[in-house]
Parts: sequence; C-alpha cells; structure tokens
Amino acid sequence: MQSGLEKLLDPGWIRGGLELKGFWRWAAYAQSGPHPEVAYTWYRDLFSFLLVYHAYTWMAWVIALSELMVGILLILGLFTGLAAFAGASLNLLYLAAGSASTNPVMMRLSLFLLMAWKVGGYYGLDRFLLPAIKERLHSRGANEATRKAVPNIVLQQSALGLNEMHGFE
Amino acid sequence: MNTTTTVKCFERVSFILSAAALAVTFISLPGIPPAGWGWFVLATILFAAGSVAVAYLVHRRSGQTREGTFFLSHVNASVFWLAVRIYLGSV
Repeated sequence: MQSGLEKLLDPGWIRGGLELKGFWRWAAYAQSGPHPEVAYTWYRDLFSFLLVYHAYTWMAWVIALSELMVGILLILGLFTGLAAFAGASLNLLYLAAGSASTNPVMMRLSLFLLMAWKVGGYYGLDRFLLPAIKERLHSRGANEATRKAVPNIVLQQSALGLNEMHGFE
Repeated sequence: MNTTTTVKCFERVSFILSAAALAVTFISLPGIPPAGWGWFVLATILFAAGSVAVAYLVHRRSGQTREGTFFLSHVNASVFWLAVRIYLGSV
C-alpha cells in the first residue's frame, strides 16, 4: 500500500510515467554480458515494444493502482487468495525485470498466503464473504440440478403415460 | 491453564501486536515508515508464528487434530496470516 501511495503521490511517476520509462529503458537496452539482469530476451523485447507505443503513460497508473488495491485488499482480508495471487504476480514481474529488493521475500509470503486462502482472511472480511459465496454457489448448483432433473422427470412421466395408454408393461 | 485458554492467550497477544503494527503503518502513511517499523513487524510475524506453533502442539497433545495442513487450513493459524497480511499489505 505504501509503495502504491508513494507512486501515486510522485509526479515523476504519474505525470507521463517518466520514472517507469527510465526503468523500462534500462531493462530493455542497458543489458549486456553473458548474464544480463533481465534474463529473458522476450521480456526485454516486450519492454522495447511498450516503449515504442508510449505505454508507460498509462502503465504507471496501472502499476500504482494495482499495488494500492492489493495492499488494501490484504489489510482488509477481502478476497485474500486473489489479492495474494495478484501481489505474487507483481513481485514476479519486478523480479523478472531485474529488481530484487524485498520482492523475493514478499513473493514467497504471498504464495504461502495463497495456499492458506481458506483461513488467510479469517480475521478480515473473508470470514463473512467466503461462507456467503459458498452458500450462493451451493444454492445455484442445487437449482441447476433441479432444473436439469425436471425435464427428465416430465419425459419419464409422459413416457409412462404413453405406455399406459397403449397398454404396454 | 487448559487447552483453549493457552491458545487464546497466545492468539490475543499476536492479535494485539498485529493491531499495533497496523496502527503504526497508518500513522506513518504516506511517508517513509518510522525507524524500527520493520523490526516491529518482523517481531509480530515471528510471535504470531510462535503462537501458531503453540496452538498446534496444544491441539496435538489434546488429541484434537492430527492434520498435516494445520498451518494452512486451521482457524487457529489465521492469526499468523493476519500478521503476514499486514506486512504484505502495508509495504
């Protein structure tokens, strides 16, 4: 959350995405030697492609808002599993782009939190939300089963009626 | 001290520490966290992990559970995940 807020309050990040542009330029072009920090060539090519189309102007907003949303959802304990997955995905993107920082620790914790999605948000809004969703899905599943079963019953009954009408056993 | 009281005792301390970590996070927003914040959150996470370990041992001794996924699926482990969520959500 702090990282997202700092980005949103930083004019260098938000207005035109200049800081992101600088980072992408480094990630795309300043890699040399046998062991570059951005190991995947397709990832470097992706940065080049995004730079050409000036995607940093809106991607800066997407990144900052994503970080903020993940932080808020994790603190509230709302959709904890999904938030942990999104957080781990962001960490993976940063790591693959050559930025280590706290990302390895955060990614591992996020993955463990994802595995513990059932109780991860127990002290949070998931405590009430997950049972409600489960109940709703269960009732929808039961309704669907009833809806599928009714035509079969009607067919069976009509077949039975026909059989009786024609005197078949 | 019986089983439930022991678990609840550790859980409450972890809960208070997590609430304090969350409060400190919001007090420090939107600037840089005050010195020592990282240590405080680390201590909170470690204490919460310890409390979950105690809960697991207490449950095992009382024969309540033998499941291997206690840490990932038992309600008494959720206080650890609360501390982890506060750390991950605040940074």
